[in-house]
Amino acid sequence: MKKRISLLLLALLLGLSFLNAGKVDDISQTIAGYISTTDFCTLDITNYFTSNVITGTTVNGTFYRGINLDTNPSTNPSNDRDLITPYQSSIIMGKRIGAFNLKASHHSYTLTVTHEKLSSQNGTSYDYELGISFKLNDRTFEQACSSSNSVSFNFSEGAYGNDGVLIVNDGGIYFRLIDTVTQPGQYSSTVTFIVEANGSNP
Amino acid sequence: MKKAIVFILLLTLTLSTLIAEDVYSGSDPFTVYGYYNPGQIKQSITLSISKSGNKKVSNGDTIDWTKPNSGYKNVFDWKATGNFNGNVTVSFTVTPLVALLDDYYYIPGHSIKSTTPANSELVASSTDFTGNPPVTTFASGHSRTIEALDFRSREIVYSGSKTAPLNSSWSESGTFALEVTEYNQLYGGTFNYISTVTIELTVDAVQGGGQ
Repeated sequence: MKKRISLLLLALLLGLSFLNAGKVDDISQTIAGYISTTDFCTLDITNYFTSNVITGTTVNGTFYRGINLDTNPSTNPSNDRDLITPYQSSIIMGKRIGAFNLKASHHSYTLTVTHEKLSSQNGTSYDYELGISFKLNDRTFEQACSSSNSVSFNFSEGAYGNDGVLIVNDGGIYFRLIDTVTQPGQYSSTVTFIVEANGSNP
Repeated sequence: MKKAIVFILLLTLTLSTLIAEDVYSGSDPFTVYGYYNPGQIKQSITLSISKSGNKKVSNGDTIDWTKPNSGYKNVFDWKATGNFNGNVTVSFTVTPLVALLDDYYYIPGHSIKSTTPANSELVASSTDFTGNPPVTTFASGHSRTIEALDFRSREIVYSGSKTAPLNSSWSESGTFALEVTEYNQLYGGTFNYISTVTIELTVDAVQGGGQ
């Protein structure tokens, strides 16, 4: 009798083990699908002066490219001169030097933009104002700063569109001098966009 | 039964942590260039492409991977002008086409084509970045097609000597196009496809041709 009961219990345990193993496999496959289809975050930046339009002048065989930093109307009659002249207003104005797109889903993000001073090879440097401007859900976001500061935007869940996806299309990047450039030469500055997640994934 | 439930909960927590730490952070820098030469401007050079603010080959264009060999789609036109004399080089660097899914997926099965007008004075050549000499050199004014069936970046270089009389300028122009060559249902979705094309104009000036 005891033998029969033992055999019956053993068979029942084996049956339950097979049943549980099957359930674990099914659920883990569902989780893997969730990862690959719902979460993304992409940032791409267009720099007008390296990939699309390269303008400049050649002086004594040396080619200079980029923005003409001469703000004197007698030596630089171009329309761009007024856009790069040291600013006299708090409104973001300047020469548009690039664009950015940001797309993300189901999360809170912080976008931070920093830049260095314009520097030449001989060590001369000048500060400029970098402006960021874009629209999100019909609201305009604008910030500008010198090289000693950074611009920062926080995108909370409430800033997302109706489909739960954050989309910034064709955001503007603007340049305007703070200092007046007086030393001839070519200058360069690095601008960095940083996207960081806040908190954990819901 | 209890053991199975505990295993499922642990799996969920681990995957959520990976999503938060590995996917949502990153940075992208670029360089701003400027120059200052008051009262010294004697010569000028300009390089432009037709789609301002667009460096992505696929941005704004529809690529249908279910209809291969249906013709080249013009991606952009370029034009170089100058008012000095010297040796001119226009080069394109083209990265492989990739799809933006969870990660970057290289997409074979397409060709790129670069064309200059029949009266162009530039001679073109193409190569990849394996350190080998140019694959081919071909006469000016002809189309050049490169099969992009592997995952290496490609380069197309136009070079030649340009001269201009006083108070006049020279110009060169061309087109850059893309065609799908292989049917592939996998890449037929509404994904973003990206290939970065860097175009550069350099001049070894001999003497001024302008004012």
